[in-house]
Amino acid sequence: MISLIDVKKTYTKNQMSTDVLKGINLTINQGDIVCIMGVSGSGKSTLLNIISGLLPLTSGEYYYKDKKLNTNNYNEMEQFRHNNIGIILQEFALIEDFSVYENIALPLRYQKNSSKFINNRTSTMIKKLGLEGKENYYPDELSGGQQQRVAIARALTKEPELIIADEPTGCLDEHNTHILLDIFKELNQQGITIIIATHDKVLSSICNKIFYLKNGLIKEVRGNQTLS
Amino acid sequence: MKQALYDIIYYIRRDISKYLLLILQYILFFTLIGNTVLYIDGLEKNDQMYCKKNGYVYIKLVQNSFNSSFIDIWDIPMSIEKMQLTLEKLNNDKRFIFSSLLHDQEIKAFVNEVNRYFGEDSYDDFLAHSYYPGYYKEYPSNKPSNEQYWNNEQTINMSMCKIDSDSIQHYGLSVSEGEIFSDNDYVFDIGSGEVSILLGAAYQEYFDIGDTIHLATPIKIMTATVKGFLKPNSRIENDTTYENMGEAPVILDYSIIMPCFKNIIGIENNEDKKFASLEYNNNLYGTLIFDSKVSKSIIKDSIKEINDYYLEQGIFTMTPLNGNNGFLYLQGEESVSIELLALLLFCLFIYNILAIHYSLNYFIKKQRHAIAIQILNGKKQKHVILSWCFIIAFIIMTSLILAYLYDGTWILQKISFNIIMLLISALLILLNIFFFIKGISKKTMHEMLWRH
Repeated sequence: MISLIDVKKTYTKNQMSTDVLKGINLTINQGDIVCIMGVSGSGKSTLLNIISGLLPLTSGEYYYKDKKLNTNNYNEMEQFRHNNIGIILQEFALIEDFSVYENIALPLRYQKNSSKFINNRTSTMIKKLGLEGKENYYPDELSGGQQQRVAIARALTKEPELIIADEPTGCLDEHNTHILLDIFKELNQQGITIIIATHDKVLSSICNKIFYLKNGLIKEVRGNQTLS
Repeated sequence: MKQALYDIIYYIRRDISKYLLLILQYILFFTLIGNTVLYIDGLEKNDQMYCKKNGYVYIKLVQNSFNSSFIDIWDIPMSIEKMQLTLEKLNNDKRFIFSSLLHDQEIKAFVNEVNRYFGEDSYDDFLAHSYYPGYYKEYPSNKPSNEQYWNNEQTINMSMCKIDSDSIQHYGLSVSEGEIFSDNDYVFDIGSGEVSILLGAAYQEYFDIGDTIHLATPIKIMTATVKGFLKPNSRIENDTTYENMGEAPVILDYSIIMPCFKNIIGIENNEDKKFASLEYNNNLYGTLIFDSKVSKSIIKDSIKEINDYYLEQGIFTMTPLNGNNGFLYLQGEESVSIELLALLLFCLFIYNILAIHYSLNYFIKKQRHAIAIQILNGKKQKHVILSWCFIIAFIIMTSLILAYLYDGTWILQKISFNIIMLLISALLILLNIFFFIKGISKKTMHEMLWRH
């Protein structure tokens, strides 16, 4: 489903270059639940951002379903994200000015669906994530766990085939972490591919592949993935 | 488009106080800019009007600061004396003439005063009541426009005219019977309440020289002695009168002519003081008249000189009619106050610009995060920019409209002023959009998503 070949990413600031990814090669198959682990600064967030089309590559190749992506083409990547990916971030990335309902309905609105469809789909997701009665709440009126569930509901609402989660348990307590694990397991059973960047060993326990990053390189792979 | 409007409603609904704050800041900005434009425009503006027929230039002067100044003349000790001194200087300046007309509306209000003092019976003696039937049934040959019906009889509304000796000379007024005002008639003894009046020719049928009648002016009821009757068809050309500038001449056949008081004596109590202040205040409105060959620079110098009369007393400002408004009231203050106020206004302007800058920065920062989330969830960048265009246009245009509503005179200004204000608004919108695009484009999606 996803192939990265010799992917490098360099940040340049004030004429100083920092090589964050130094040649990543990996393959992720449909239905995988993948963990990207590593210490802070190892490049896992950068790798995740590249996979989700938020950052362009410095060099290398990115294939999605055997189609090479031009990560420097803003419109193409916008379309790629729009059609395929649901993203969940550590900080939940909810719009403070929008209610729970409006946040969840956001992707559907941008897909220009009918009001009836948006309403039905959003209500289903609210029910599925156990957010009934919170529809009109604003993010700052919710607990961390509830906010993360809103973020997940929003990521799922457009029925993506790939979910990318960056430190999704970073702001959650143990109880909410386990709830999140159950949700991910359930989603994976439905055939949704999930890629998670995390420090959390509990979260990594549900993954069938784990990539360990160190100094911008994949140093170790667990599961059925092999380094090419 | 639909998405953009949708977003405006959502953002404003949740964050209305911050939007209101930004709108208030822009109202202040427009008020400062608008008045500055008017002031600069007024500096070069031709405030004089040419009377081709009579071959002179006239400039109507009004006390600009009376309502807008920080000064409350009623509370200033010696204000009457200061007004009196200013008036005395103006009266000695042969360029300055005074004439003013009171109309039916004002006179109607006086009737109530008369009733209060003398009761209903006084109607028979109250000449100023224009609806009194029986006096003025007949039309003169030059038919006046303000005819009325009273008990099915056609009557004519009265007017009251206040005039000084220079105006009498300027309009060439003379009497057919009795005498014109003498210097003593311009001095009013408030204790006696006696005043001399001239009557229009139409009254000659009903009154004789030396008859007394009751006249009501605000606060004071006067006993008026008929001193003379104007010649038939006496008129004021309306080239110098404040209220009727540009209209047809005012025929004085049905008018009561009062002197414009140069001096009010015998002031004893607060009521007298208020009466005197009102009289002087009214009398300080006037007109500067020059020969049409006089150069602009001399006219400007004259305006400055006359204005200095006001400035010396420190209680009034003066400005040409239809001329500057806004900042010109500064001229009416003490020179130290002028500098202080100018400095304060400048500081206010700088503060205003900074406040807008920081408010917008806050908005852009906040929007940046929301925008990243929206883009992440499928919103196109061009729609994001369109939404911002709508929001900023909404804020700026709302502020402009409110600034116009706040200062009702703006809409009456010449078209170039309104065009300038619209251009400034358009420029502001473009600048905001530019900074917004710059603000979001210098950050990557990842940076925009991570606020900390």
